Amino acid sequence: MSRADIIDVTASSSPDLRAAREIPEGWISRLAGKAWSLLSGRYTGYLLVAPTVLFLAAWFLWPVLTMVYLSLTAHSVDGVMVEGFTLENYIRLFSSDLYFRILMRTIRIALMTSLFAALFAYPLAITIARGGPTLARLVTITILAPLLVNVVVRSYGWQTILNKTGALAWVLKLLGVSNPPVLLYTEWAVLIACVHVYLPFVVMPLAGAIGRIDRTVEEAARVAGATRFSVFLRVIFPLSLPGLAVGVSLVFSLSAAAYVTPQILGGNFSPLLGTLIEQQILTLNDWPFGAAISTLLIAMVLASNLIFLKLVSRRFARWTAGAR
Amino acid sequence: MTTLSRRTFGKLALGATTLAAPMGFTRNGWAQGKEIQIGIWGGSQGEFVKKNIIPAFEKDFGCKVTAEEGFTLANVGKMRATKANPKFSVMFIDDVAIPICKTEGLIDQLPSADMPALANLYPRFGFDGWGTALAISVASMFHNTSITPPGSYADLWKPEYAGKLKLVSPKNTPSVFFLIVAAAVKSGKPFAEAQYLVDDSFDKVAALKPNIMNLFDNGPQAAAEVAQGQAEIGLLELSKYIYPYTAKGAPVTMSFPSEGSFAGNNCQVLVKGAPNKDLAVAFMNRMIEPAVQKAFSEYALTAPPVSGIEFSAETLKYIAYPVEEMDKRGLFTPDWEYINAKRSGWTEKMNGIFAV
Repeated sequence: MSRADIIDVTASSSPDLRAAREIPEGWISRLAGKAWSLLSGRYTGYLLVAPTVLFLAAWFLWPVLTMVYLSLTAHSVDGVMVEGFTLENYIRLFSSDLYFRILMRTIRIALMTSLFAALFAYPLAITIARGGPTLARLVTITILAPLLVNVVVRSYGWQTILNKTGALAWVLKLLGVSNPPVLLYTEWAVLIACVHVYLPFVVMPLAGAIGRIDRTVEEAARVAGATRFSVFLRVIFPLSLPGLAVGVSLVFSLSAAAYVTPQILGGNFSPLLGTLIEQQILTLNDWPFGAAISTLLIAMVLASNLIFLKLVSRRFARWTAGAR
Repeated sequence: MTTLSRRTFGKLALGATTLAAPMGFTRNGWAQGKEIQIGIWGGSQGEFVKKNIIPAFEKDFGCKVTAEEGFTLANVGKMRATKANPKFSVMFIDDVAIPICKTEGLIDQLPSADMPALANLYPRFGFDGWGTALAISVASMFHNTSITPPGSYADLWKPEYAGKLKLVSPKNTPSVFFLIVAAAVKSGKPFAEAQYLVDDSFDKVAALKPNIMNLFDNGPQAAAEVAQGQAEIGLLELSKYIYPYTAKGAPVTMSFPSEGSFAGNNCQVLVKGAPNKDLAVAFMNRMIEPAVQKAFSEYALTAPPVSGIEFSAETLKYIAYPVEEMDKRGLFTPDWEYINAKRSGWTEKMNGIFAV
């Protein structure tokens, strides 16, 4: 339905709509009428987002501000918190090679998870958007199934597959690999498990984006002699970029902040920033330094997402410029 | 001085007796209807406290005890959060956190006059009156029963153990024990002296890296993996996480190298400004009474901090008791005040070795 259609429907003079817009008498009715006029007026947008904004302000913005404040307070060496403003936590964070290297690992794992998830997501999303209803439902259920299992249980499941006597080693031995590699407690184990669980977050928005692409555009390309791959590369991929952008942003953010999966499958040899935050807060009781690492993580995820979304929207605008 | 006539004295005595009668005729009448909130541990120890110790105490005192599960630093966090308006009366924490709680003014000294059970407490588990131990585990090496464990920690650095060891994560308290072991192996000094040499021993810690399969932070899971043969040896962990598996017949048990072992002390402290302090003190006293300690120790396979308890030979296989047996095994309790001040830096160094 186009924007013009929507405007036309709301402006229609059907008896039902007219009845709904009539304001009955009484104060409740007047209040309802006032609310209706506000909602249908220039404040509509603000009013619709207000509950979400208030919710996020109370449960996200305020805690984040508290965290940033905490990261600027002091902490004595014997684990006792003390009042006072200091940049010491950030100086420690940026002067140590350890935190920089773990930050780089966090970005690397998040990027690789996003990349692999995107690669695996396209065939699945095309199947959901363009396949038959039964196949589409089957793929959707299969894709969403990992989300029904608790992250701890899922990680232990991967552990039994990837350990040195696990299913993977068994299959590789059957295939003739005498000394199969043990992936458990390596970055690969973290990557595999992250791609597995975060895949639906790319597939679903991507399937939505591909489903919205007008099939006649693809048919026109085919009629003009494009191969299936060319149609994907020049039609489906560019037009599905908004869906991909949403999915990749979600996967990047979730992977960067992952804690349980790296903890169980990385064996503390491949910790991400989340592990260090937990260590500082729960083990060392150094909330200010833990808050400084958390602030760095949030800033990194936010900056990466903003840059990525900007690049994608610019690319999308360029690729679709000819169509407008 | 006012003199009392015999008649007046008789009236006063009768009145006082009448007023005190309900309390006198009801055992622990002073506690009737009172309520305290306590912070306990999770796991099997917490389960035993909730299912066995608290109901019996509530029945005997006619009171209500609400228990909230947590672990040491979470429980310290709860005391901090409620410092201005204390909600908890008794808190279960490990000995590592007692100096922190003392420094921050979160706990009170125990009123020893009101705790008759303290008479049986071994002095080393009294923490200068700032709490008492409740259960003592031995922290040492654990291994798959199919192998012969080394007699000395120093052997673990040999290449034959490449990729066969699981090491406790820096976030767990026993990781401090491992650092002391590394310092003792490097310096050849006993744990009591080696604990002050940890700063100079990180090269020894790094030298063990090729032999480490992974760093674990879940004791029971590590015990299960060693039992399955994923790794041969785990170092170090508290016996309370390993022996329950051994007792059930899993092929994993503990060994005690010649350098000695460590004491893992689970303790109780009295929260500063505790609501219904008298009831809290009575509960703490109950926790160290011999009958309670015997049942608690047999359930969790930990040693009691009090003297005079008889255990079966089967239980004694798993616990270091009495205190002479603890000494025989060289159970060492580190200087937590010194270590707490160093731990952040040590953890950062361990992360630098194993995490990058």
